[in-house]
Amino acid sequence: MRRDVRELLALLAAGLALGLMHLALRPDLPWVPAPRAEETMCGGEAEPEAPAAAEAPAASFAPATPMSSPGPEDVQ
Amino acid sequence: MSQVQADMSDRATQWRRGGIWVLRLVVAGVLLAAAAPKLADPAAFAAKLPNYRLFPDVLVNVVATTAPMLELLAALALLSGRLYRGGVWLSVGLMATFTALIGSALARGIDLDCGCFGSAVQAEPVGALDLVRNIVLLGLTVVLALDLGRERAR
Repeated sequence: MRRDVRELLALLAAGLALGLMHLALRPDLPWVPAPRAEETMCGGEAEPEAPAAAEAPAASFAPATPMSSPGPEDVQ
Repeated sequence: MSQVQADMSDRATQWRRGGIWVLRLVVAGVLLAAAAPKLADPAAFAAKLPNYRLFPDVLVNVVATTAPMLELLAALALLSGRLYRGGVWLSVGLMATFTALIGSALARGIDLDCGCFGSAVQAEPVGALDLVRNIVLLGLTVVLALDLGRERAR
């Protein structure tokens, strides 16, 4: 068992060292990537959420617009 | 033990060793096929990793270059026989990790391309078939690990 662990640790260390070396040799891969927009299979990048204030109707004290046709109780 | 029994035991041992060799070739082949495209284009693999929503940004590129390197080393250990025991356990660990990642993505309903074979295959949303494939591969590596114990006992 001890031999198994030793060999596993050796492979992990070698993989980590080679991986870091590979990363260092790739100029297109920075060590810390810039935050990027999420990409899913559903269709490209997710749209940023619009601020809630933009979607909400503007507050107004104007009287509500009347309905286009009166209801039966209004006729009576 | 009679001569007939000894012959049968030898034959069974030969069959078992042959089967183990086939398993080694299959697992190593899959690991090589997965590692090569990712090593050739780590940027493409790195672009897929954030979709798992598990890795912090700082680790994405490190994982993108280290994971395929570990796959390559595990495959070489299985094929060459050098550090074979470590290679078997590394394969078990890699397959268990990949299976857990795919299972986690499926459970959370994330429709990502797993990036398992880099950009060598057409991007498709990860599905139950990918999970089954990984479970089967994990089972093959576990058989190799169990055989390690058998070799030690003999």
